Amino acid sequence: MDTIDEHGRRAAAAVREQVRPFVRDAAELNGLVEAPARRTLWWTVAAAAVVVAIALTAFFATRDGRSVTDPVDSVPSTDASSTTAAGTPAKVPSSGIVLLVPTSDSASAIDTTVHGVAPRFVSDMFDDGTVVSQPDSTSIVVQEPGGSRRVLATAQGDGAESLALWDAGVADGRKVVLYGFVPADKVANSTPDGQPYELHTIGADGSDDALVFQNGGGAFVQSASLMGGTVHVLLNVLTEGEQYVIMGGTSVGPIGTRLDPTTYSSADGTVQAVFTGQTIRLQRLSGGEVTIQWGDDRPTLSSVELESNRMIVNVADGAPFLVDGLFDGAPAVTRLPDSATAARFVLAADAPDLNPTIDCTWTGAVVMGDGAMGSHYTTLSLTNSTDRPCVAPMVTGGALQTANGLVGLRFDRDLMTTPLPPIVAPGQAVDVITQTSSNYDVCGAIAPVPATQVILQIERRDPVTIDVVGDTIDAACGGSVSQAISLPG
Amino acid sequence: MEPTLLPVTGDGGFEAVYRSEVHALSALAASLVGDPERGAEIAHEALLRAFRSGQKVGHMDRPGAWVRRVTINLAIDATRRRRREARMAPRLLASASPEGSPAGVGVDDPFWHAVRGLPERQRAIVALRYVEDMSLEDIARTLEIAVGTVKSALNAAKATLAFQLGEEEDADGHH
Repeated sequence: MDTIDEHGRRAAAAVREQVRPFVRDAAELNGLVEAPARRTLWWTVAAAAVVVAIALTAFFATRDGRSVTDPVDSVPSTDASSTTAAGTPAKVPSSGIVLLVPTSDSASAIDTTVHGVAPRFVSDMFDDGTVVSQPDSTSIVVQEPGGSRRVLATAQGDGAESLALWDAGVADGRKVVLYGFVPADKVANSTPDGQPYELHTIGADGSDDALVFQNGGGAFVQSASLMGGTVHVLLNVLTEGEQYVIMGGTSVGPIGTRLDPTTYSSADGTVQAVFTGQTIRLQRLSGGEVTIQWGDDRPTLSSVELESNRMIVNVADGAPFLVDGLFDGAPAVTRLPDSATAARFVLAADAPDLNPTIDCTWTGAVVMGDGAMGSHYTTLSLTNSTDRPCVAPMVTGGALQTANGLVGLRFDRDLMTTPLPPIVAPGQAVDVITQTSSNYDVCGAIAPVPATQVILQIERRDPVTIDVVGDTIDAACGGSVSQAISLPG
Repeated sequence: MEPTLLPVTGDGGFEAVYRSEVHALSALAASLVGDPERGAEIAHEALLRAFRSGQKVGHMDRPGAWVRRVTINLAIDATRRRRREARMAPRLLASASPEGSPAGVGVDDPFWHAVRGLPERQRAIVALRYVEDMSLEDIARTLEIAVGTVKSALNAAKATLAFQLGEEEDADGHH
């Protein structure tokens, strides 16, 4: 017969093995941070992960009782009574997401039918998003109400998500792979008959709020610790085989929730916010910030190197953290409210062109792979060399041609990107990072010959061949080579 | 103003802490919540809190203890929440049960089922004892409680577990 110690150690060993698959992505991230060139990506991943973590915090958070110990109790609580823009008494939650959206002429209803938002390029497109999930896939579609533009977010098997934009029902060729999350203020799942569910929140100030999924066939209530109206859909915790589906009145799938009833992104490019006695710091990862400090009678704002006209700022735990932004050098234009309890500020100096073209010329450079943990990474830096805004390029695949004619590298299944802005301004560069496993490692035994060309498939055009000149693959694997390229528009 | 984040690299940086702790913390949380995936999520959450807490954690003598306490708190909070959900929507809980693990193995081992029925402090101590293979002294330092408290709680927990599992209780609680 086992003793408790024997049983406990055996059971613990099994748990340690059991969790390994779920930290696999973390190991990949460890490999990324080893390369200085990947630092930007790491910060981005970390930022996205922080948001995921914050959403999980909201998901897990309870408001009853204490834990065994409370090492995080030094984090200030920001709960405070306040008033929404509509004058409805509400509570400012201890965590939330502020969405800053660009200016638009259309009106916005600030209620439960607010934005379906995917980070980085959806927040400017949907004033009242309807989110529809494919019933047979790990995907969520954010659709512009009354319009044709929509975003499809699909969970990949490795924890990434792909986002694709459609217009008029046709994919416009823009696809971005994210290591992150897809927040949405309103979430709905389609049923097999195509009728969307709508998500509402009730119990605006309680810990036992609920998510109400509703469609023509009825409603289903899922308990959740909510305090408002924003919902985070954590696609990155989905894996293949998992579905975020409502079937037969039963909701399954991981849903992180977030709520801030007093903060709304509206279509006119402003943010309605109520933060009594708080300092809201909007900060870029690369430096620069704007600080909004509420004093005794009115807020003051100071900005340093504010270049964003759209930012998503997490204000969880009283420590605002910039999640994402579009940096295009626009100066800050700030309109300060008179009230200390109902602030309204504008950070949209110049709305971006919402109709960018995909017929662009990109000047590119390729930095050959480095990496760790059995993976190699190749950075493709693509700069918009046209004089107009462009949709971020989508690299759909590629290969590396070696001197003996072998195609030693294929990365059509393993593309990563740094966060791509929704629109790439003239002269702005975006990086696409490709990942290959060691099985296709041209630096290893599979193709131990110099690489001569990188062949890219960008969007749906003919492949583009980039000559690798002036160096060998061996040197490239140990260092880097760059080669200017021009991709056809 | 720089964000108060831990440095990414270097000794004591987030990368190093992350690498050294993520698996152990995931197992620790998984044993407490009964779900390996959720356990990994909680571990990431705890590590990212450490990351965000920046200098406060970076200057601690034992940042690993800090992040373990956060992990335990989050795991226990998740358990509380799960129980509350069970009261409100039993069918949800049933549908959201972890899948993919053989019954009785890993987090589903009767040992951990029994552990999760223990009082919260005993739960944490047992998890640290077996998952992290900690000595009583290390558990005490991690939870910032007295060694005697750890020993008495662990003995009580083992007595309960022995009764519930029909197994023999070990003679002492020392590692």
